[in-house]
Amino acid sequence: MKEQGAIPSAQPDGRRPGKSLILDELLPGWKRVGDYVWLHESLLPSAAAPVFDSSPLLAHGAKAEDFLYYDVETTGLSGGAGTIAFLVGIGRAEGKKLKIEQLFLSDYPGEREFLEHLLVRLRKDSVYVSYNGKSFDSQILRTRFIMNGMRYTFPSQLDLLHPARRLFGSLLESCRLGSIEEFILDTPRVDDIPSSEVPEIYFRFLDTGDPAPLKSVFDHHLQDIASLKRVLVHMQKVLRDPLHAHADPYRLGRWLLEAGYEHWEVLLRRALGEGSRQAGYLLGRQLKREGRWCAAEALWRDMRERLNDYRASVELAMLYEHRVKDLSRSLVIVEELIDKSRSDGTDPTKDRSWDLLVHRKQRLLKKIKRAAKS
Amino acid sequence: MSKLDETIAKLELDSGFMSSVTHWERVSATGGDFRDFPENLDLRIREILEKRGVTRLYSHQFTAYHEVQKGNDVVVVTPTASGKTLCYNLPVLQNLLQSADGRALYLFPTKALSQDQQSELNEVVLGGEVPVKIFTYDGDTPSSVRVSARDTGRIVITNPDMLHTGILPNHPKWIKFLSSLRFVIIDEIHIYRGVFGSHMTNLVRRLKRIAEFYGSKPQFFCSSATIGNPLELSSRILERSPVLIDQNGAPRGEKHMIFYNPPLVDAVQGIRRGVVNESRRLAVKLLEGGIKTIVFARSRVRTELIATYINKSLANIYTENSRIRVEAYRGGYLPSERREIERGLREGTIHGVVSTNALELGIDIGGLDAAILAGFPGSIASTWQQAGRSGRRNALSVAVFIASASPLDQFLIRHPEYFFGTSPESGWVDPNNLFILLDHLKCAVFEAPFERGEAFGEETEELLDHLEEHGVVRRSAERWYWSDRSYPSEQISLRSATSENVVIINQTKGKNDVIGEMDRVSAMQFLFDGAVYIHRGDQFMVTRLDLENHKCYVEEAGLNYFTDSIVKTDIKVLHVDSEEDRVGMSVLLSDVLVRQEIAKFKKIRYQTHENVGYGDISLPEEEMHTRSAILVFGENTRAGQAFLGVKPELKEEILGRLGTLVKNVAPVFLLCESSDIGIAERLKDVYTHHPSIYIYDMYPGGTGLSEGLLNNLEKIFPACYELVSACSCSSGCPSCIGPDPEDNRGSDSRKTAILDFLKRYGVEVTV
Repeated sequence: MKEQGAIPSAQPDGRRPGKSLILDELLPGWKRVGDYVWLHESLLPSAAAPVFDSSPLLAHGAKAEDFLYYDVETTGLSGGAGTIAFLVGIGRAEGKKLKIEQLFLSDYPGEREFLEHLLVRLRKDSVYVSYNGKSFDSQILRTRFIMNGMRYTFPSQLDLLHPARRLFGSLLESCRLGSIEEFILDTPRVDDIPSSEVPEIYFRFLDTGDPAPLKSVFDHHLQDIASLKRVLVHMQKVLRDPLHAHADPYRLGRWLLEAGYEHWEVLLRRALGEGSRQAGYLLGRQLKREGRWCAAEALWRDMRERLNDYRASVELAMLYEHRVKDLSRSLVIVEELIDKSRSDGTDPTKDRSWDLLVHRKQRLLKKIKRAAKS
Repeated sequence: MSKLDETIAKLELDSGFMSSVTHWERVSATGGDFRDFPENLDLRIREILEKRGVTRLYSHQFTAYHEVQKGNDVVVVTPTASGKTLCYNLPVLQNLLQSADGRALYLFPTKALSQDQQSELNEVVLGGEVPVKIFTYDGDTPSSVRVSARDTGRIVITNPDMLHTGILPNHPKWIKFLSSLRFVIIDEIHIYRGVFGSHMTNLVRRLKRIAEFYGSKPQFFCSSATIGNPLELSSRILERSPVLIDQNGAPRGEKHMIFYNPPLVDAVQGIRRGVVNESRRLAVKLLEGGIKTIVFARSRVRTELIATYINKSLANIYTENSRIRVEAYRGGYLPSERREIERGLREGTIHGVVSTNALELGIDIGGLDAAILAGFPGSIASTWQQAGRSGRRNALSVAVFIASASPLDQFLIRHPEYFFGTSPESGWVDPNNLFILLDHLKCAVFEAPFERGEAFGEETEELLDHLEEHGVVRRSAERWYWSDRSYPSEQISLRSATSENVVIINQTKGKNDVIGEMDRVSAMQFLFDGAVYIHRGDQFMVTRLDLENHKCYVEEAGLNYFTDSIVKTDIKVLHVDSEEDRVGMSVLLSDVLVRQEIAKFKKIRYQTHENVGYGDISLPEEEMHTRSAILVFGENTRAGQAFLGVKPELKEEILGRLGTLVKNVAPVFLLCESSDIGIAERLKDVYTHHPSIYIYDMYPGGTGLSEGLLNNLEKIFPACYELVSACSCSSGCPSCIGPDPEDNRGSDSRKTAILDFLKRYGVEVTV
């Protein structure tokens, strides 16, 4: 048996930390709310709530006080029935402040009680904001509720990981919350522990009963929740003024286009200017869809001339053949493409697009012949 | 007269053929035992069955239906093609139709069998208006389907490995399914023997425990191929007392079983015609006679070779014969290819198939008329199973066993009475093997905390306390909780071989097509750079084996040879835990490294099978870290003294035979399969410097078999002596010391030499 640590235990099986754990002497602010459940409330100064009107993030918008920020610390990262959530935090806007409640489970037998305390704080009418909560935090909590014979269904969630990937994915090496804070919000954390160390610290606490090292976990967790709000506010700002945002113009433009918001064209053109062919293709497809043929022609000609782009050339050939009905111009492009495929050293016949090119050329020749006859 | 009648009559008159036949057994036909459909059978099921031409049930199907209805657990043992699956599908579908939310879990040992079952069930369910949703849930199931499988599947078909790492550890995701789980079907239960069976028992314990957590108490239904002790095996795996149903009600036609020893080509050296070409000749003869034939080969390479040769022979004939379609079939084909071949066989568009034992299990390929066993499959049970693949309802069938040159085959071909007189092998499990139990106890705590007094195998509280000392479990308020960040089932494999697969990619002319797959260990043996890989008769050459990325690149080739790698195994002692003098020898318990090195390969010409060259292979050694017991016959021990008395020229062989004997005897005491243990005999061992026998665990890390061997040493040698002295064979047979190819008698007899050794060693005194 491992009998150490400062606080004697009243537990019959002699394991620490028992019901007699005293957290608040070492870690001020923690209140006991159950045999094994502790609560900590913080009121953090926070940026004034901006207007959350309609955006690709939230189609219907929301009031600042509707958001519920949450985050969970667990005993393992792989999930499954044996992974426990021992620390859950919930943040809400209160006036100009952010109120964060952290619930801490100091030993396994208190889990049910812990979840009951959590349940009263999970308001169904809120917009749940998390970072990777859809596939991790909410799944862990769902499992914990089931394991304790309780049920809770999460309402729709706003998981910031996915928009973060869209907006900043190509700018960052990783989309961890810490990277967003450091490189996008420009506020690197100091004295923070890596998330991967959290389970060990908790297990050590269970073993020794010494709560001191937990402080780093509690602080880390508090920062995570506070960050959720800052990241959300920042994203909202980016989306309201996309033209001046520090974000990937192609992915931001595509997102705005798909979600039905304006400014996508400027962003896609900017991305194309930076060399993104993807942006060009998407822009071309959209111009075609809108019937803006002149703009489309200009785009493809630019891509053909500047980037020597194969797909743009094919698009152009099709435009000339079907739309402009300028068969000879179309033929020039197709023949040039055929020559190019022949000269690049590989066997062109194995490529499926080769057949299409040859077919197109034959059709054009036939059409030209027919036109000459009539 | 049927085509087969004619062919059999012709064979009987063929003196060339008959001179090589050592035995011809006629098993007479038996009529079927039929019952009407049960009265309460759901009309929708009855209609579908009638549409498929089923108007009555066999007696065993009827009995199974009623036993399940009574709420009993059941084990059904009937031969191949006797309608075993309907035994459980009928009562399960009946119950699922009559209850609004009952669910059933089907467990099959392989993915291929799961898919086969899914299509069989779909036929029943989709054939009519039966509203029962069926899903296969395994590693190949896309994640989009997984959610609906969990939430809406009434029947979920999976395998033990998926249950172990995917379903049970995530049981809260399965709450809907598990809270209304009514049936658990374990098909092919005879596969779960030895260490795999011990894992299976513990998996069943975990499943029962989690089902209880959700308030359900499912009935179990097992089915098995012929084995020695089906009731005992299933009772041990279920830890319940199922009802045994082994009265087969399906009719059986007359069956001829022919034992064929290929003729000698060199009588002086005793060289016979090869099993590959003899199988081809016979298969061609049968196929030309319009007889649907299956050939079972002992390896993947042989499967492809025989299929290629048969197709070549058929193509050379300027008659209708070239329309006969023959396919190879083995593990490693794409699932779609396998389905296509199975369908072709069922529908009759494919007339012949050459297969590894992959088709031995219950995959539905319809009725075949003839089975050719190209070599003895290794067990009595498998032989019956393969021979049983021929024979449709009421029709005549034939099975021909063609002996290879191996001592075992040559023994059986000379002693058919051994085959017909020996009951099929029994299966044993040892679920409370400490290693296995402890592994599954970890998984079980992960899945739900343990209450005081809750039992899981033996000595649950002691083991939980032990786990707590290792810091992975925490006891608090009379309960034990999982307290480690790991996901325990991921580190515990139910099978000895890894499931990691290498994908085979054809890059001929810039293609990039996946044509098959192979497990990593086999890939090292068969897919080295420069190897010839045959896939459904097409020849490819391996351009590069990329083990790191699990890929093997091949290109079409037209070579006149195939390749065979030369595998060397060596054992290195890493650490000796204990060394003691026991039963007159020194006995070591140690950690060992079993290394398999594949450094060279042979090129073998087609048809003639002559060696036409060698090549080098540069692959990393495959290493397995495991546990071994080492029996050392040092000169100052009783066993060592006795061994000194063995004639020098027989020493190496006698040591080898002793190893075989221990491998045959030990599984009885260790409750394992003989394939769970590896044996290596060393006349002068580099580590011990004395004649030594290594008996090691075939599971990486060991599963306690070496320790078990030590605990049973006092019993093992007397049992060896008893086995050999009581064995009715004259000069050794597969059941005792292994067959003697030369039938040596008198002073050269290996059997006498071993008995003498054991007597000198003094073992009979303790019997």
